[in-house]
Amino acid sequence: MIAWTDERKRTLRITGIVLLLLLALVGWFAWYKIFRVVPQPAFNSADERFMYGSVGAEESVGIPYWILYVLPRVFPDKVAGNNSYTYPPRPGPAGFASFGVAWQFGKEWPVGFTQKTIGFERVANNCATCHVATYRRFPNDETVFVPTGPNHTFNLEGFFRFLVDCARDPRFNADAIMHEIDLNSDLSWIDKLLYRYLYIPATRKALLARGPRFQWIYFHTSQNYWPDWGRGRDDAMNLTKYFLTTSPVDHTLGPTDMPSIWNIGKYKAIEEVTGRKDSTRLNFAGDSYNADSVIIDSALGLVNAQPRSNKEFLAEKDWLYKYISSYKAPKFREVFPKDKFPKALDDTKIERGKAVFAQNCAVCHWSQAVGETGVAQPVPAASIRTGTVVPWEEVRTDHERIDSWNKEAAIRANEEVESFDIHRKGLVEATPTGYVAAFLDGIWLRAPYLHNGSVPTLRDLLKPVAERPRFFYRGYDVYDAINGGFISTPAQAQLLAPDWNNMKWEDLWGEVTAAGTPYDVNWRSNGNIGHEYGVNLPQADKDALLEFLKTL
Amino acid sequence: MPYGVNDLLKMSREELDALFAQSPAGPIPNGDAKGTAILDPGSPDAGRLAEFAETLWQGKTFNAQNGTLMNRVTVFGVKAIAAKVVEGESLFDKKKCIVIDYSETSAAAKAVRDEIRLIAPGEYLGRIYWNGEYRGYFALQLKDMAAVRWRRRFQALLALVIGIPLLIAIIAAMRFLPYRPVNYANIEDQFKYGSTGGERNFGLPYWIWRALPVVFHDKLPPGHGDGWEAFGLVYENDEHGRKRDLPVGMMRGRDMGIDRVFLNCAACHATTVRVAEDKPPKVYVAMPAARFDIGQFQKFLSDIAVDERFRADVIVPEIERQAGGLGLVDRLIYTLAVPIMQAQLLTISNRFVGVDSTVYGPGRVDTWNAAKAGLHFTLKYLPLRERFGAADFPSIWNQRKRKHRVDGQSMQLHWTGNNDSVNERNLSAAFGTGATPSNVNHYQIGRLQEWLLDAAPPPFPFPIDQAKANAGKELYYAYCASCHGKSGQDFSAPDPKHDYVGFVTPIEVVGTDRDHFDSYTYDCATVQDMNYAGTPYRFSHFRKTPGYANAPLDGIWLRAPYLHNGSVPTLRDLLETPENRPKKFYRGYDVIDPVKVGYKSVATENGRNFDEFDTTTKTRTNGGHLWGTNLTSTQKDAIVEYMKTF
Repeated sequence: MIAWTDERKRTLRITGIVLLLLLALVGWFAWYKIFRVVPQPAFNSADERFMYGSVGAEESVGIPYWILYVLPRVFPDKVAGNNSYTYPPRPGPAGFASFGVAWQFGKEWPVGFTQKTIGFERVANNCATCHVATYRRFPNDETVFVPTGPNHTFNLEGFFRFLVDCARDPRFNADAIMHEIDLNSDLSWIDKLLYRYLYIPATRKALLARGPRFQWIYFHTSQNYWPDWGRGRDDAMNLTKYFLTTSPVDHTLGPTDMPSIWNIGKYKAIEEVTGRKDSTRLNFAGDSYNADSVIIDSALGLVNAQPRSNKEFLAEKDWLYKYISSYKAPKFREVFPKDKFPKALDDTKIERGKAVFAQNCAVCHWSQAVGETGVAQPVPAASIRTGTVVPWEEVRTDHERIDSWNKEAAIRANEEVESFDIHRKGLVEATPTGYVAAFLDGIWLRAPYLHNGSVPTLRDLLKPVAERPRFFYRGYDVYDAINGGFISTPAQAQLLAPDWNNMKWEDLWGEVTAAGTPYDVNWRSNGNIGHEYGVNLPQADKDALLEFLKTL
Repeated sequence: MPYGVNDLLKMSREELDALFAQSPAGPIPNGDAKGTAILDPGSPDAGRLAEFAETLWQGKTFNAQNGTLMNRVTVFGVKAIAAKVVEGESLFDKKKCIVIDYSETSAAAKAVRDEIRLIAPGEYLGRIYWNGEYRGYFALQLKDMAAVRWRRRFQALLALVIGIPLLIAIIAAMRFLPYRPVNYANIEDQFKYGSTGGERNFGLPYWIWRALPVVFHDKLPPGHGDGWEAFGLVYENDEHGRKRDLPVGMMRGRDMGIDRVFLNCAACHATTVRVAEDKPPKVYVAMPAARFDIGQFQKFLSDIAVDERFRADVIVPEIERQAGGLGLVDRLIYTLAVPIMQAQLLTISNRFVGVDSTVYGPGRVDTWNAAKAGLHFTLKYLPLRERFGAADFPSIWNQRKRKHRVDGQSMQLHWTGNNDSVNERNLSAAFGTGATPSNVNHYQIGRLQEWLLDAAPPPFPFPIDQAKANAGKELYYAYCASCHGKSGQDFSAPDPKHDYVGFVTPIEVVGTDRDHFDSYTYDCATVQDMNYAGTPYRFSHFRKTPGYANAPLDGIWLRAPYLHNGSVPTLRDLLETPENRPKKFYRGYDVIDPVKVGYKSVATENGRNFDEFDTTTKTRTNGGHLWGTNLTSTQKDAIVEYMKTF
């Protein structure tokens, strides 16, 4: 037996206190370096907040700042290239820029990449990654950024694959990555140790864990005609199936264009104006009931976990709703003023085009977007279908997007979100039957067209299927104001290049193919069939309609 | 009464003699005895001496039965040096003692004889003789030494395992860790020879660098002479009139135990100029290095990296020849440095695959493709039109005046005006010297930056016809000044409403060769703005612009050849229409043409060839910039005369 003398008791007490202090110190250190949340600095404008503000994804899927920073430098061979039709595929040559991200000059990260300190600086994504459009009016123009517009240049699938591919490579090790970090940073020794022994192995593990869930984006081969999403598209419902819920791979494929999300209040407004009840649907195949649900589900897709705080998450959602409701599509006329771009819009045809539109299109596509002039704008009785599902048998565009979603998936996804204690009207618990008749506000900037982006220009969409381009490039951001769309085909380059200081069309086409990803309508889910409305109109009517469509 | 060892150590020789004399011989001891040497009795150091001796000799182990002993030597207590132990007569007082006799048993200790007597129970005092002469005392305490011995052994082993490597580590750390860049108090010397920090990244080991042009003599640009001068690098003499060991534009720093050297700012922004063929060359700083062929330099380093002679057993002997021998350590270091350097050269040259640096020619570099290579862009997969970007080195003086243009903003810098921050531009250029965020010396770069704000170009070194210049001034104001400023000192345009100095003129308006313009891209600009992330220096000013910037013309006489791509040899030629501008001329020669203003075009001098510049080839076309070309010959001469005052 130990005799508990006073001295021994004192020694024990002091030892205990010292141990506790040490433990507290270690605990504080761990908290400081791993869990401490530092709010993002305030943003100068709502646009900045939308483009760079956190939606809370840093904690669950954020990548340590310096790892993401150096990945394209350590693995330049894995950066997404633009040409999936060559074997072996060529990597993109320009680091992060090769992913086609919207990137403002002077910014540390591209639009949609959010930087936040949770213990250490982490980078994740927000809505703006896919919902900021960029365009140039001529090759030597400055890039214009349109928040809430569709990002038609970002190669999201390429970025997803890149992260997993890097993690799968043996070079994803502390030595190789720290070497590059050391060249570019001036980290303290303690941060270097943390990177070496904690962040790098943990990041690798987390990225590897994504691999199996991304199984379906690795199916791509020329044998099965399984296309890359390419720039400006994402396979939203499959992402929901495999990441929000853990459904088994079902070999469906439904990549669609990134949608514009401006003026999102129009969905609510049209119900009020028409007195229509509960028939408005969102997403291309009408998978969701309302804007709130779409924002929540999309943001959950970014966070990929239960939010740390539902209150904060829903507050951010409310802010987003308000922001994107108030944001209106840019006007073609203002972007291409008559004095500087005389060929862009033929005003003389617009009135006639409006009549043609009323006759042929208005039944599904309300011509004046709700909200542009307020909800007071009367809705033509004929436009009652805008925002509702048009049965596939009517529209007959490529069916695969519909096949990528079903009732069971919707039920599971709704249950999952409920389990987070987040309540929304949610996904429609029914197997989709058609595609939603879209609002056409800002349609000029939403090229390429149809849900899968299979038709490069508005002019092409007014042609019969057989005459629509069967192979083109997506993701080049110089706008073709004559045809309504981005430059995607050699014919467009030939048409436009002479206007730009007699540029050689081959040079222009070279830029298109260097920047864009090829799109082949023969490949799965890429069909450019269907929506053959107005294709048999007289040419003059089509031309007039096109001019009118640009003004929407 | 037992004696403590300490007591014995304090005793003088006389006291020990007395003690020895009065003690009996005692029995022959058996077993271990701890030994303490008392070599210099009574001295104040006796104790320390004993401690030291203990590391060599711990004691003795007797075998009374056989009449023998073994000594325990070294810290490990190894049994060694046998002796016979017998009773005998002391050499000291002829009385009985126990004699330890080595003469028959040990060759090493043959001359030694010890005599011991019992001074207390278990304690013996011993006298040491060498060839019969007294050499000192020692004490023996009989006790079992096994435990002590094992403890000692363990301690000694520990000391060996930790201590020796620690010592080696300390020595190695002192040899290899310190970083000692060579910097200068004089700012011009700093510019020409001072470190940016970049040698820690790109630095070539000094002696290897010295050996390269000799070992790979056949890889130098043919007909351009020997040594690094073949690339147009220029050497100055030191204060003793001897040629310096490094050319202008080469910095040095001791890093990793080795002197490393690499190009600094002055390599591309300083060179020599002569006012006449027979006048000595003079170094001007902050002017474009019109003689330096960095493209050939790059090609040389790429070529030798894949040459079979890039081996230590070829290069190190040449180093020894030049250095007059190397120390053992240096020899080893350089032997190891050769393959390391080779790997680095291969890495860098691999990054440049897809870009041909031989199209640069003297005085030109493909800045942005080099920047892209630094950012790990895969150059070979870039569109071809981006991959030809060679343009002239610029002058870099008078930066303060470039921080202001008519709209209050900073002027747009670089040929394409892609950055309007002087500081950012400097850090960006420093990447070329190897300076990265982790090794850059902000203090020294800051010193240069401060100096360059007001560093001014030297005046035109020939007489100027003032009347003619005044006539030229009027014409210059009418035709040139709205884009290039009133003079070499005043960068503002005569009419503030039409002041375009420091702005960008669209490519289709200026009409000059567009290759350099195309080599800079939106992608490059955006990724460049990630540089220096996490520091207050993070880049944020890079832009893709629609054309070329309108530059002030300060010191224009030192900035030949003209246009961004150096495609027009003289100012006078620039005022001709493109079809009348020289189709071919030579670059790299340093004698000024005082009439047309520019360098004389000379193919060869004293066996040294200069480089033909063919304006019909990629990156080198001389069209565009037609301002003033419709004037009369006299008017053009007058404008050139006025520009001599810049």
